[in-house]
Amino acid sequence: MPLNLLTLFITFLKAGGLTIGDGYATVQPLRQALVKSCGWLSEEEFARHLAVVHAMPGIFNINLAVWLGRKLKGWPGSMACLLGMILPAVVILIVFATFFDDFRHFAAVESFLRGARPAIVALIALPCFQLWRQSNITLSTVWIPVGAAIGIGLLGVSPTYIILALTVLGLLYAVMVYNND
Amino acid sequence: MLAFLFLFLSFAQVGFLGLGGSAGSQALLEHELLTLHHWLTPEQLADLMVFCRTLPGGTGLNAAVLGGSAASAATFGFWGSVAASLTAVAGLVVPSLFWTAVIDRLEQKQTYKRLLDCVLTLLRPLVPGLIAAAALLMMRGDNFGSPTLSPWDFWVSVFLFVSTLLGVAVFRFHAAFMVLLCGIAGWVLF
Repeated sequence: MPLNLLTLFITFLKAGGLTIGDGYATVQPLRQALVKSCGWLSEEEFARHLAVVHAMPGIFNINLAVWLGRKLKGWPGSMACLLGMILPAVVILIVFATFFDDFRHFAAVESFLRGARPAIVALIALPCFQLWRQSNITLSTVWIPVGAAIGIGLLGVSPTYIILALTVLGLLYAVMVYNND
Repeated sequence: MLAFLFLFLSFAQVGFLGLGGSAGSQALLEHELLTLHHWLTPEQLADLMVFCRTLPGGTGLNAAVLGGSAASAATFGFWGSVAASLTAVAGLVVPSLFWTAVIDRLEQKQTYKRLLDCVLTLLRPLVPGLIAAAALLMMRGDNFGSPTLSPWDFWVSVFLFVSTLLGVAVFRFHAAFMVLLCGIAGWVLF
C-alpha cells in the first residue's frame, strides 16, 4: 500500500482506533498491519519503536500513534495516525457520556456494576505485586513506594510533586556520579 | 472558562509524567479526577473502567473524554461539554508530542542515556507505590460499601476483591473474565 497521510489514517483507524480493550490491545493489530499487510516497517524496526514507546511517559496508545507516525511520515504523519487512533474512542465516549449516569442506575446494570467494582479495584492493585518483585526494591529504596502510596493514597498529595522531586534528586545523583568519574 | 484551563493542565500532567504505563499513570489520573477536582466519583470511574473493557481507546483516553464532559455538562451544555472533552484530550496529546520530539533528538546521545539511568534508579521503585496509591484512592465507600452501615455489601465486596486478586494472580483467569464473573455474582448477591 502506498504510504501517505490518508492510508496512515485509515490503517491506524482500523488497527488502532477500532480495537476493543486497553491501549496495549492495539499492539498486535498494528504490528500485523504495519509489518505484514503494508510492509512499511520491518519486524525489528517495529520492536525497537515499541520499546521506545513503552518507556515514554504518558498514555500508551497516544504515544504509540504519535511516535510511529513521526517515524513513518514526519509530524503530519503523526497527526494522521493520532487522529485515526483516538477518533472512534472520542466519538463513542462523547455520545456515551450523555447517558452514562442514567445507564449506570438502570437496575440490572447497577447490581452488575456493584459486583464488578471490587474486581476493577483488584485489577488496579494487581500490577503492584508483580512490579514490586521486578524492580529490585531494597532497604535503601523502599521508602519511595511506601511513602508515595501513603502520601498520594491517604493524604491526597499530588503525584506530580513526588515524580518531579524524585527526578530532581535523580539528576543531582547523576551530577555526583559524573563528578566522581 | 477556568474549567477548560484546569482540564487541560490536569490531563497534561498525566501525559507529561505518567510513568509505568497505564497502571502507573492511573494514580495521576485518579488524583486529578477524584481527589483534586471531584470531576468524577470513585464509583463513576470504576464503572467507566468496566465499560472500557468493551470499548476502544483505553482508560486514559476514555477518562479524559468522560471527565471533560462531567466537569462541564451542567454549566456549558452539550456542545460546551464536547469542547471540554476535546480540551482534556488535547491535554493528553500535547505532552506526547513534546516527548516524541525530545526522545527523537536525544535517543542516540550517550549523556542522555546515563542521565536517564540515574533518574530511573529512583523512579523505577516509585511505580509500585503509584499503583498502590491508585488502588487506595479507589477503595472508598462508593466502591465497597461501609462496614458499619452496610456490612453485607462490604463483606461481599471484599470477597469479590480477594477472589479477583487470587483468580488472576494464582489461577491465571483472564482479567475480563473475572470482571464478568464478579458482575454476575453482583446480580445474585446484591
